Amino acid sequence: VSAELYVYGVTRAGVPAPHEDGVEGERARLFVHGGLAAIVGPPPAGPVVPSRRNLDAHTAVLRAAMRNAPVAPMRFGVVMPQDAVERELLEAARERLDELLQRLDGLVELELKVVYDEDALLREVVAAEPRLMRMRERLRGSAEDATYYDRIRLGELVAEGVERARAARAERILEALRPYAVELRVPDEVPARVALKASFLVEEDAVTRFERAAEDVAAEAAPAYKCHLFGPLPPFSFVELGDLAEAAWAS
Amino acid sequence: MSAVAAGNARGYLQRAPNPSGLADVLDLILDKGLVIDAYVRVSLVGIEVLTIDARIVVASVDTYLRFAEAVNRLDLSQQEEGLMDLTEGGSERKTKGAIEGAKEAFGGNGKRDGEKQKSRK
Repeated sequence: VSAELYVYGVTRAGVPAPHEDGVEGERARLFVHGGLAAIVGPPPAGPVVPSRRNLDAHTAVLRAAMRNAPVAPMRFGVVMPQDAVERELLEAARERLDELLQRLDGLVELELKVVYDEDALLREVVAAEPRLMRMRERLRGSAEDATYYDRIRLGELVAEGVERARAARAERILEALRPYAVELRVPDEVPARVALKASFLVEEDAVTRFERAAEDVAAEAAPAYKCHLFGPLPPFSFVELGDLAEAAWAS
Repeated sequence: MSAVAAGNARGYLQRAPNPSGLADVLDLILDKGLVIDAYVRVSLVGIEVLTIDARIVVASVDTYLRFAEAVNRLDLSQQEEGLMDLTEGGSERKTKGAIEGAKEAFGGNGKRDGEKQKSRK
């Protein structure tokens, strides 16, 4: 049985190891095989705990490695026997990893999250539709029991209005930021009270310009919406090769 | 909002306190990235707190009634005042609760709990 390794990501061979303490405080190193290198470290005994410290360490190691060469980040918590790193990762997916690293060279990920203030958004929606205002005034004077279905109808119309406003704002923001990104990913579903989540793949040199554009977008969207920008991060959202094990069988 | 003049747009964007971003990008680190499924070995302890953001609003009678209630208690007379607040840079106060909730998803402290309760009503 070969030794197990915690795997942070994949980079090119021939670059310095990242100088950064990783998961559980263990120093990361490179495991070189062929032209590629896995960024690895000693695994914790048992399952990897997604503590704040460990999650931060995972990202910090990848960021340190990105200073030397492009990096394809692994998901948090991958522990593999050394021979599996060699055969199932670096050998089986070699061509795809090579292409991926070439594509990601000089690029970082920025994460945008736009949260809305419900009351502020409701005010916008009601103000935009006089019909909703009239329904509201009518219902306010009546007993709750007597107006059950009317209240459901009002709520349904308001819900539609909120969704329309949210979608329009999301589209506006994406249009404003799209020119500054190489690639863009938007999840199909967003959590409650989130108007938009988006991942942008951005050239390192263009990060400042992207930030400026994001600041303008945030100012325009306030106060009903609050924009948060995270990063630069390793390009977690832009490395999907499918399950690498399946990719290996297919090739 | 058009009340904000060009060049005066600083301070609205919330930047992560450090470059790695953390609490709000957890789903990124836990769900995205290269993976060989058979070798993922993450402790499930704590995951519930971390992925709490994954709640989705579904269209249902409960949701509609909640929206109707929210619109009913909305104080529309605040509208004018709200616009004035903005021009005076006072918009911070209104949205602060939601932001802090998002920022402190990790801490599991009172603010986050407070937000959760509010959204259940």
